[in-house]
Amino acid sequence: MLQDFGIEIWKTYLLLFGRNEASMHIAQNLGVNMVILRAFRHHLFPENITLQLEDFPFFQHRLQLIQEKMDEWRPQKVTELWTRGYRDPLTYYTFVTAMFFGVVGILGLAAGIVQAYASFLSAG
Amino acid sequence: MLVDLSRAIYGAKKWVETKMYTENFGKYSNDIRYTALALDGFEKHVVDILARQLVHAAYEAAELQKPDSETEPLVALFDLAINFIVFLAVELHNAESSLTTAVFTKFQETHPVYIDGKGLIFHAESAQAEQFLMTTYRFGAACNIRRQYIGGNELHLYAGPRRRFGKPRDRYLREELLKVLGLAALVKSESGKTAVTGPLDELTASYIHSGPFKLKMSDRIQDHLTFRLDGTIVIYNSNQFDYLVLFRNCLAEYNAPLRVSLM
Repeated sequence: MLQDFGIEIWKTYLLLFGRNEASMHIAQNLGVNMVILRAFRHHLFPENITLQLEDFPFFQHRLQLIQEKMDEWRPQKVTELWTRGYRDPLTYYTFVTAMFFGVVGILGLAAGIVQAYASFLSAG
Repeated sequence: MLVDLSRAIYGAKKWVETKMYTENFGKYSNDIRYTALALDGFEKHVVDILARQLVHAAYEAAELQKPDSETEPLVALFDLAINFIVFLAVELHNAESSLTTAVFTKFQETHPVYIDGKGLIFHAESAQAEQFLMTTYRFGAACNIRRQYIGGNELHLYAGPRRRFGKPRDRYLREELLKVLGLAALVKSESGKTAVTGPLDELTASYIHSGPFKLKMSDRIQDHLTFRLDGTIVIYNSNQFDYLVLFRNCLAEYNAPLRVSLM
């Protein structure tokens, strides 16, 4: 049982870090032992097979909770509007677009004020 | 004080009934009072935990009984007793008056084990069946004061005359009673039957890091794949992985309730 538990911990490593290069890079930055990770991937999962929740008898509920949390995440603070959610990118893109047009509008207004002030000075 | 201690130890009196609690004079009187209170609490806690472990061990042993017996296996008796306690609790909750023998009859008429029962306890008309239900009721309602432990005090709140029911919660009643009886593992296995299936294709570190959550390493194996308030997902540090440490952690978690109660 303990051995199954240990192997499943490595399976979660494989799930998170072992399926694309970007994730491998993150693993390296976090200090994961890449030699063991690669060996594990090579021996136990030589092909990049699809892992399912039922492949994780010990951690399936935690993984499911992570999935749910990721799906349900929505910005709660103003600062979080800059963060793109996992399932609802519309809020993020709406905010970015609104900010873009807002900045353009403010710049246009400032340019108009400067232009009016310049023409006032030249007329005076 | 020694007399009080010996009385308390041999069960002649509770700590709070002894002179060292009631006549609290002297230099260390307050300390003694608090100690007496704590000992009462610890005593019940320790006995409860031990009793629950014994009940669970008995249940597990009963499960090993051969199924081709001429009478029902012991585990069926456990099930019958638990089902009857839950039935009693629900019936008493729904009823406005107190318990009558009609509840016993109704249980025997409605519960499926009485249809093709092998042993006498599973024959609704037999004296043994009636005696078994009555004993179960006494145990569940904590009528037998000598057995106030083994969850009796807790069950009394549900099935006894001073029952405690706020909002209707029949759905959780069985789980609560199983926990009180020391059979919490059954609750786990029952809830574990709900199939957890589905793909995990998107769950990669790069995808997680593309959004608000971030991964963070930890040396505590029990924190693996848990959330933190700051939006990080904790991953157990594989460099710390050691079967011996894992084994010790498992033992520590298993013994934690007992250790806390003994402190």
